[in-house]
Amino acid sequence: MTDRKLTPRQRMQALMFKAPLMIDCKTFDSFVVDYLDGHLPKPLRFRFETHLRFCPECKAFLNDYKKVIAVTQSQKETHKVEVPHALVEAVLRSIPNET
Amino acid sequence: MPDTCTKSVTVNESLVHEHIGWMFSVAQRVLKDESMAEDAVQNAFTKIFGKHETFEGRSSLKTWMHRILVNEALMLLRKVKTRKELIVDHAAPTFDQYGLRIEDTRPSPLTPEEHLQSTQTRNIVRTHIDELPQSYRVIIILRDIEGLSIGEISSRLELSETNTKVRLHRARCALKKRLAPFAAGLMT
Repeated sequence: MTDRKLTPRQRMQALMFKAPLMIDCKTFDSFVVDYLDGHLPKPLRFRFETHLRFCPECKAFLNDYKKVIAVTQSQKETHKVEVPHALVEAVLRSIPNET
Repeated sequence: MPDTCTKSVTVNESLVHEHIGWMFSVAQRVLKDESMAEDAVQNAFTKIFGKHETFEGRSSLKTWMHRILVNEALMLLRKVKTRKELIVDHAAPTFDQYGLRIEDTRPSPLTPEEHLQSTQTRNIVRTHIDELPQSYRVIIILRDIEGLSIGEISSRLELSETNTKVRLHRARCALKKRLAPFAAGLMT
């Protein structure tokens, strides 16, 4: 936690996020994984999405976060490697005879 | 009443040739070591050959083999004495005394859609994933590349689901932070 002097907009945000049915950025952050997995219960999802509408910082964070997941997922298709011949031979030799 | 969900797996050379490529690739990604990846693949095939009669067809054959392979890779990983890991908490989001995010709000330079096909981008991303501390690297690989659920990851790594989610979140945040300056360069 960092102490800092707030701008008028941030002061307003700090007050707004304390209102009923609102959450602050820290709580928002703890919901991100479940939200993206579609596992956030409806009432919490509502709070999460409401926060997103009023918080440009969290909106930017979530956009970048999703992009990071996308570039990571792209590794699946792109990581091609050559299988050592000796490994193929060893595995083939280990095939049970009875099959 | 016959067991209708039982499917047979034919253990033969074509099974090996068909699957060994992606299996070696997954093992290398998880283990970051070619000779350990070879061991993982060999151990996995030994299990597959020994257990093929128990394959019930509830998942696809590839999913079943993938599960066995990941288990073998993780078993090998556990045996390796882990080096002292870098702390990645500095990459975790920070908040002020009011719970507000303290974040760089400049427009994001990350535009993966346009750059996913770039070899340079792929290599940068792979390098930065590889450089993550092992406990974070493995989770991000299992979740975001191999597509395992949080539940599956937590049971395989013997972590609570909450801990798994926290580590995944920190790993993604660390990667986000590491990739930002490189992605900016790629945009120019």
